[in-house]
Amino acid sequence: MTAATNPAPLRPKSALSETMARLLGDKPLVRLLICLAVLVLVAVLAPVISPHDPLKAVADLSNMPIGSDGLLLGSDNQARDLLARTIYGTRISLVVAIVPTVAATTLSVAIGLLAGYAGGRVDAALMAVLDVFFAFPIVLLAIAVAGVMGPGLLTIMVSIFVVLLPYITRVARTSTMQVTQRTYVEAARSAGAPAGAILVRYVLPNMIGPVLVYATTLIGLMIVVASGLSFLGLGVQPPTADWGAMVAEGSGVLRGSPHVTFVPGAMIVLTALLFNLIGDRLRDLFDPRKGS
Amino acid sequence: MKDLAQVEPILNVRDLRTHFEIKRGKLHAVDGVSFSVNPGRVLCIVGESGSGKSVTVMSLLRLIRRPGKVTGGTAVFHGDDLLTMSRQQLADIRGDRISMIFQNPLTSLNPALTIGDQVSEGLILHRGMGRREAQAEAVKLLRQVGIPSPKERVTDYPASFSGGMRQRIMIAAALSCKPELLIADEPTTALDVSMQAQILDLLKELQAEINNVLVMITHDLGVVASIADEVMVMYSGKVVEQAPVREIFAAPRHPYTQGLIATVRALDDASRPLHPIPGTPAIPLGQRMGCAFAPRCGFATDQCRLETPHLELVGSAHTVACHVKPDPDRTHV
Repeated sequence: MTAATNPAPLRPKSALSETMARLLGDKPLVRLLICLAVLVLVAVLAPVISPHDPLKAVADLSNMPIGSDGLLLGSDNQARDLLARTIYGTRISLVVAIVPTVAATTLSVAIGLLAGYAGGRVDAALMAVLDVFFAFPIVLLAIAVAGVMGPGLLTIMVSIFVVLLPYITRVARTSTMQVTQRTYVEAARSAGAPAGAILVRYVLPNMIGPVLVYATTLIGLMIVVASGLSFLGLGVQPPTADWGAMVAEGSGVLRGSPHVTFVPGAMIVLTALLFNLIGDRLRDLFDPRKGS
Repeated sequence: MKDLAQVEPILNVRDLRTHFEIKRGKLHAVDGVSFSVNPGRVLCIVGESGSGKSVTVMSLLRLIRRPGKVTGGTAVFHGDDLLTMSRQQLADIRGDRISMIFQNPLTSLNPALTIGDQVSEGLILHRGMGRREAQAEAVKLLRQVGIPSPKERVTDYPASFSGGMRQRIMIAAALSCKPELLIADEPTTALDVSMQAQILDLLKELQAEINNVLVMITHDLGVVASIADEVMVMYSGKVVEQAPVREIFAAPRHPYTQGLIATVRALDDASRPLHPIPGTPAIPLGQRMGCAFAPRCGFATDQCRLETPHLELVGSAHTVACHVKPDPDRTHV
């Protein structure tokens, strides 16, 4: 704090900007975030960077090998450009994993705050309801949702949202309970602060760290889950390019042309790994035992 | 206390009872505690861990959480009972006319808010000040409690302050609305000795300036000697002795108080043998009979084991709950 040279205005920095500065000072995390940014760019700029239309047969033959004439990654079983399909598949995989996880996290934090802070009967009632959701296996749930809404992107997202809700809420609730016991919350109560202010200013900013770390790790897992559901035909329908569906399509020619399966498969693994590594790194950075 | 009846006490607690429902039964953490404090006085509540000191003051502000419950008594603050008034009334009093300082300065400040925000929170909440005005006032308060260059540091977070500094910030926040009653729960326990003395001096100085009441919890008799006007000794959820500070040290009448003072004297003076109080503190669980201290007391009689002693007047303002009331000269137990 260079107080002498920089006479501080009243609000020069927030807890958020200070946390951001700390995260961006961590080199391994920055590298991982750059990888993520590249992935997001690929998804956003798909129409610009894709060499071909992902839905049209552009090759002379189906299942052409990697490095074939004009097709960097070869072609799939319908003679479509594998590279173009992989690029377009990024869009669906990211959306289908990130959107429901973010939505579930938002609702979970609200429920977790309420349950963890209020305790007692409110807590017991909310948790009992969520325990019902715990009982849903994701594939069965997705099949049920697909039965109502038909297979598609929304079906997968709804299923993931419902399945994640109880898990993230548990973490949010535990984290809230821990923070609620800290003396500064007691101090805020002893100072007459209203419950709303205590929750927003004292509990929320101090409980959110572990929840965000957990949710980030879950995104990685959900990419795999979403691909699995697509593989089973519950997700986007052909001919739309989706990594899980591509793996399913390639599985028929796995013996002769393994790359048709392996390319989207590798993307699933790498993307899931990327989110897991980011989650792990965040966990390390937020771990109070390691100090700051 | 009756002799001082012409002065209206700021806080008058009668027969306060707080129970905790735990698996093994009812824990009588506070079991019929009564005391009152007059304006401008410092009351120290003394006792070992688990004697009910903290629960007593937490009960006054209704900060007891499940499985604890205040089950009886009154706590009259300026004519209103803190224990029965509406939540809104209580919220208006908390932090404004009564405020509290906690033991561990490292955990009692919110790490996500600047110190200026925390010190000015009460002013915004209870005084209706705007942000800017409150922050300016916070700078003044921080200067008053001895934070160097407060104007620059008001936007820093608690993490960039030491333990002693954070306790000063807590004090600034607690005193922001000039409370008539300040409760300090072992404010110096987590600090090193030189810092303890500074914080005590600061508290004394500010207390004299605002002329409010300070109720301080401590287990450190050194702290008691340096700051208290009145002393209340608690054991196992009950008050065992209460007297002006000079009398407590000169003529303690309860064997437990005598034991506490004897151990401190022994520590000060290496030639005296150390007489620790034998045994461990009684757990106030379930139905109780007789004096809670009897199992550890060298003077205990059959009456002590069967009949619960009640507070009796033994001096003009000195009460003690003991059947034997041994002479202060026979200090060891």
